[in-house]
Amino acid sequence: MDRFRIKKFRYLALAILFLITPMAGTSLAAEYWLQAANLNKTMPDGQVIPMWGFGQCTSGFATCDPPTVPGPELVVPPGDNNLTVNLINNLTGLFVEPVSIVIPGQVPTLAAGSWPTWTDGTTGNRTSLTQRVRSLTYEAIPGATRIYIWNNVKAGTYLYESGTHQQIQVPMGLYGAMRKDAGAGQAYTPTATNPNTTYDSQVTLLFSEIDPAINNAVATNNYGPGKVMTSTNDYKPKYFLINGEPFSPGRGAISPTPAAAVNDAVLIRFLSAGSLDHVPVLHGSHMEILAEDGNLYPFSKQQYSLLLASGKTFDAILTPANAGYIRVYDRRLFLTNAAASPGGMLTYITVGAANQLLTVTKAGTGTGKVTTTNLPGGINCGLDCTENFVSGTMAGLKATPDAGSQFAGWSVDASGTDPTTTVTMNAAKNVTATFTGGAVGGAITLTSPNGGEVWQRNTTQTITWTYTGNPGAYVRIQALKPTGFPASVTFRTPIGANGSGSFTWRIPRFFGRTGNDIKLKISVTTNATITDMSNDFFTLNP
Amino acid sequence: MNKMTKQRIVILLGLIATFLLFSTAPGLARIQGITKASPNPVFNLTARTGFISADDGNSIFMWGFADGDGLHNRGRMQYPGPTLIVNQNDNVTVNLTNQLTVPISILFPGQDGVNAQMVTGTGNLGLLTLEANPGETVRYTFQASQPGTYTYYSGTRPELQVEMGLFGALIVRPTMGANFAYNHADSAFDREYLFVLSEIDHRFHQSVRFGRTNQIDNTAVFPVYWFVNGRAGFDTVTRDFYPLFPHQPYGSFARMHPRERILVRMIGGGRDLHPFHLHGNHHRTIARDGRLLKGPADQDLSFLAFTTGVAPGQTFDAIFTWTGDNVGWDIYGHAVDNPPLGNFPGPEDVCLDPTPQEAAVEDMGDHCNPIPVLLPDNKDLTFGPFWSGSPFLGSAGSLPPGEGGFNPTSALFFMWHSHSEKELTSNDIFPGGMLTFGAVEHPSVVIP
Repeated sequence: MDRFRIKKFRYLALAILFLITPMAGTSLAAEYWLQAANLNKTMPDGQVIPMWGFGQCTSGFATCDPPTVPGPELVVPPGDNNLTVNLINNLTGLFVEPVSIVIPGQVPTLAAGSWPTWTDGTTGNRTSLTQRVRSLTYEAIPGATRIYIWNNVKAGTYLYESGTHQQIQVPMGLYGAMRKDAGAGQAYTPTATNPNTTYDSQVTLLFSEIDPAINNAVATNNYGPGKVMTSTNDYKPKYFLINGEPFSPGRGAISPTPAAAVNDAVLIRFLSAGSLDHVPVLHGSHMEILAEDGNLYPFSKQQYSLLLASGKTFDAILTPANAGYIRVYDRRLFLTNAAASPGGMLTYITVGAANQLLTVTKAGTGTGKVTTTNLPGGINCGLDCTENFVSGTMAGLKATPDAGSQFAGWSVDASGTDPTTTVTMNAAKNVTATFTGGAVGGAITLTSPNGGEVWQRNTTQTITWTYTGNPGAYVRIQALKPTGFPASVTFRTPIGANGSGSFTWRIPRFFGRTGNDIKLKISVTTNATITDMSNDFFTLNP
Repeated sequence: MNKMTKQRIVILLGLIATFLLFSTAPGLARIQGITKASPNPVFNLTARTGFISADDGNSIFMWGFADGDGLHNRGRMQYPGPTLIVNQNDNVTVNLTNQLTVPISILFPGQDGVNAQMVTGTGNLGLLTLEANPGETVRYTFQASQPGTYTYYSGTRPELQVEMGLFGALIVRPTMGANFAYNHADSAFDREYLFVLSEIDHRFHQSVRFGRTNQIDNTAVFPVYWFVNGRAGFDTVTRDFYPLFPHQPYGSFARMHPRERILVRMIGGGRDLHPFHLHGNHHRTIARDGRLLKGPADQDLSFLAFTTGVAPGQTFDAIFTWTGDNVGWDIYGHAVDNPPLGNFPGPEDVCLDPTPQEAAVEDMGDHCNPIPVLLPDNKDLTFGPFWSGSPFLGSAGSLPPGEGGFNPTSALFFMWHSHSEKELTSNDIFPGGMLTFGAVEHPSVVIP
């Protein structure tokens, strides 16, 4: 957000400079300095994905921002026909290779003989039958820089991506959005039959996927001829991203720039850097689809859905009739993070001012988390405990205690002890969730049988124990002999209350462990290290 | 056992087709569904479990919508859900009662301003819309402001619940009249048929059946069954509400007369794109996602295609017409070898006049032109169930005993199917899957 604003001011400043120096002979040129570098991206389920991404640098690569997926948005101002990207290859690790930049749909300025790059590293015409194309353009080898220039930039929405070894470099994360408007607030030069190309605010939705198997194979140098993974033939993505993130309860809505008001023309730029087809569906209104792959249609199309294939871009105008959140999701139903639901390609576009602040506070001796359960998400407390909502939004909250803690209730602007509650955001609201209990830990001591008892099969006996602290909610009990496997007495029974517990054991008629050398073992189901055994053998007669 | 059942089905089909022939139902074919009184129709839907039959004999556990009033399909869970048919500008109410064990909801993509409120219970706000917990009832209301073909489906864990069968069709009829799809003369039709396309990965259904929903990895989905209106080929050609398919009430057998305008409503019900291919002629795609393909000054943006890529959640409307024009020979077989000298077409052979019904639709430029091949002898032919024994429309030729039982009216059969050929199977068995037929009937045949 700040970056956008700074960029905008930068262009504004440049534009003013340009206006007051009309004698300047060359036209204004958009110039970017990008690095390609490694990053680790953490998925909502904790899986850490090794990725490659683009990061923005200052002029001359003096300093570089960390890489992101997708990379920074490349913006070419209206009226500017030139784009220059300086690229430095900062990839490190067990496996590195040259990278490059292409923008499908934009014609680059390339010297004769400088492209493509063959598998032997040479460029230009093919000179040997063993050569195969490795890169669609010239490359920046690891540690080196190259300059990529486009001198006739067309208006529209485009994907930029690495042009080298694309089958892994694109899944690794080397992609981003590039855009140029035909005029201020005007996506394309309008035509008589497709006249409504101006917009009040805009938002980019870039769809992509991650198959952790491919990324891990590349990062560990296990990808390539003769290695563990020889191709992307078995590509089977597990994570489905919009603007680099899969859905999770803590992910808030996406705000157009500037914020969209009711009846504004909101330009939505759809891009796909993934390898599968997706079908974004927008709820609430049909959109006017203006353009495809940076080409204005002869006529716009009215659709609530869009077949978004790999590498494609679309521009659509949405005119929301109500404040709130426009639901966007992939109707191909990639709506999980691996097997976990909800997740995947689900997000919300904010319409109206998101200015009602919800603040969640946790209190009490116990621990737990509070998450939003409904659209548009945004709270995942303790990581993210505040979120601004459009006035009138019903925010559903759910309290989930950690093991050993209990949820005790809501207070301040919510009440009750049900773990779910609803807060109507018609004003700033504060909600406190109280958890009782405490940190998991403590000890358990088996008190009977503790050695010397004589029990009989097919009778009922009582097993007792004591515990201190907060070991966990349930215990399991097993019978052991010095040799052989343990036999289960119970898989799961409550630990009891106030420091002691018991289990009534109806000893089965054919219980498989008998003799005078039996011990019982009790352990906490959630933490097997908290455990105890009978101090000595007892007897279980057949 | 399966084979016996199949044979029984074959015989029954023949009988039914014969009954269809003599049926005297008035009017033209209409899509089956629930209709309620305008302008405030109230639909009561109930979500419950059931089993459907695949054509390989498999029974698949499903979640589906049912008519909560117990009338449509006797209130049984059905796949796909009941087709809701309303009129433009109706204030539509859908009450959804949840008889499943998980929260559910309904989304109406393409409808503006859908309101949701609980009728009984507290519900869940939900990620996409208000949800009914088990035992609860939620109410959705909206104004069907624009005519067209739409879909509805679950908005709660859609990746599981759509797979399990919680989707259906919504048809909004225009103010212009009953035989228009939209408020435009170009959308006029004589008959209409609905094709809801879907697929199933039956392993997921088994997991749900055995209470192991948590073992389902949605990213590992691999469908092996494909359906048109919830039935796999050739179950698709049996009539609506056929008793052998208590949970799959909708057929998709498109019968038509020459020159009739057939409105083909296509809906992507599942999660994959299906290239739906109509043999016999190109069709003119006139609308997508419930919007007529027209420019701002009424420019015609419709287009001809012989395959429509029906993406999931999308809807398409197309006009299909079969004329028999310009084929170069008389499809009604008015020229005959008479006297039968075996020299057809010979100089003494007779050219018959068309019947008045034939004359109304015949391309007279081809009248009495002989078919440009010598018809092979029966013993040189391979027979199929839809072959009548004659190349001429409405003319039942000679067939060996036991052949041709599916086509007593001697119609021209065209396979309408997914052009992703893999989808013409049911769990690896061909033929089956996403496969049905369009049949051109002789003008004298009454189509209900």
